[in-house]
Amino acid sequence: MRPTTRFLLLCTCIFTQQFIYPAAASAAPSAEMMANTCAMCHGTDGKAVGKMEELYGKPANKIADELFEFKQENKGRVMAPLMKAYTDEQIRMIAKYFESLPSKKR
Amino acid sequence: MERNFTRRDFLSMAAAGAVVSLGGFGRAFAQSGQDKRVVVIGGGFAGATCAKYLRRADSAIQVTLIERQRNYVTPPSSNLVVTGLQPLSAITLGYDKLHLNHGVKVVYGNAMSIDPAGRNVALESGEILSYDRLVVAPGIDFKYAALEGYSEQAAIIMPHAWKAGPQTELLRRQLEQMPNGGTVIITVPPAPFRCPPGPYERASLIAHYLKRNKPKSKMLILDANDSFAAQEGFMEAWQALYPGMIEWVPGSKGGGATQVDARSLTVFTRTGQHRGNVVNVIPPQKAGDFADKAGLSDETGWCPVDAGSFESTRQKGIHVIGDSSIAGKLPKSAAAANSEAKVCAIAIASLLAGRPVGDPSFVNACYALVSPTYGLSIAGVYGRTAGGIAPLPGALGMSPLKQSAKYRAKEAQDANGWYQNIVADSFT
Repeated sequence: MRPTTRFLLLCTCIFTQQFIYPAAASAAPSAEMMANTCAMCHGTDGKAVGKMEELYGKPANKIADELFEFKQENKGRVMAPLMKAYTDEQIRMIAKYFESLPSKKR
Repeated sequence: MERNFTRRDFLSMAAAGAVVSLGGFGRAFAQSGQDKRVVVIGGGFAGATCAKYLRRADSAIQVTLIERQRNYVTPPSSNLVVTGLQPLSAITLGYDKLHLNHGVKVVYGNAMSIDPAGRNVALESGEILSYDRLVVAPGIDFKYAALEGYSEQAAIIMPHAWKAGPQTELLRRQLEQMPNGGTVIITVPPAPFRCPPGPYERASLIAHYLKRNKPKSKMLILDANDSFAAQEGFMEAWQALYPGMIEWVPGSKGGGATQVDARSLTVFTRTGQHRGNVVNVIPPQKAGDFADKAGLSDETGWCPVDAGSFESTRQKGIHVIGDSSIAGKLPKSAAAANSEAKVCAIAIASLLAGRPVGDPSFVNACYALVSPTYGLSIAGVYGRTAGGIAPLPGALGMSPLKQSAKYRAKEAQDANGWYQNIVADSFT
């Protein structure tokens, strides 16, 4: 995709998102709510079975960097469209959620 | 039993502490879901996931899951059983882990009726279960009357195999017994139905079986609809892997089945009739019969719900999740059911603790195998919009066209990983 096209698409996405969801407060799912959706492929709490990527207890920066790459460079097969749903802040929230899990265990 | 210490626990404890310091009076109110009871009817992907995630959201909630059968056969991956690539045992599960790992009480029985005013459920055994909130997840049932000639009896000759189990094996045996040069017919009902890409995955894997075992045979899809999920991806794959083997007749060209005759294995459409050696009738569908009995379904045959909590708009205190619910643009898939179940579980934990229900977030991720090494995907993040649940802008994707064999093989591997993990996330 040409850089200008990508830029225009990005603008469209940002604009559309704000147009449909006028206030951020009207659609602000919690970190737990968003992270729960990862579990169907990456296991409950990100403890994956088999070859899927493990998220549980990974450093937040590492998770977030990978997710940003999926989002910005259209990589990771299904991860590319999925990551386009989230703001950068939401991606950081999800990443931090998985990082923080081990300390929550008794 | 392992228990997660969540930020919510910390907040509720902090709140409890604050209340206690003011005097013991308000304590019961601050203690989240203490002594609250939730009953879940139906142990498919939706019901099982909801029971588990309710316990995770608040371990003070007592959760009882009512399920008719001790073993559950997953509809996902059942097309691999139909085509002999996996035994039925590979997709058969029990409910022990929900009890052992999460403290869900599992009752094997048949829910007969609900008393919404008294807040209890009556089982066939005579047992009465009280609840503070009820979750109903009865999956789908068939509208036999909407397809002339089809019935439970006819399904013994022309299997639907759309609820996994004995029907899945029946269809497999029929394929094995079919002569080389025969025709397999799949009829697809009007949308919405369970698993939108499912009929086309089945056609693909049957073509894979026929190509290897009965190469002179044909696969005919008689479709009531004019388009289908991941259509371009399937068409491209069929051209590449099974050229000339699969014929798809859309609704506008007379694809919709109007009548079937089990005796002569014939499907009638408005333009003609088709005889097959194996006829797989996927019947028109509706919410599980129990939803009708409980007054949860509307004139569409499905159950309207609130997009944030999945509470029925027809019965207070009762939530409907999974294939039975009208969940906006979310498809009737195991993935959507898993996602809806978690949203519902968190919402119920909030409602029982007197907290406001937060904003929902959903993911649907579906995989279809065109062959064991050729996968296709559909995935999206969904949220609540003014028009109901819908994909977020830019966040709905399908496998791109014109990809390498390596890419397709990776998606087939993803499909396997998806299956292993969604089963573990929902049932263990």
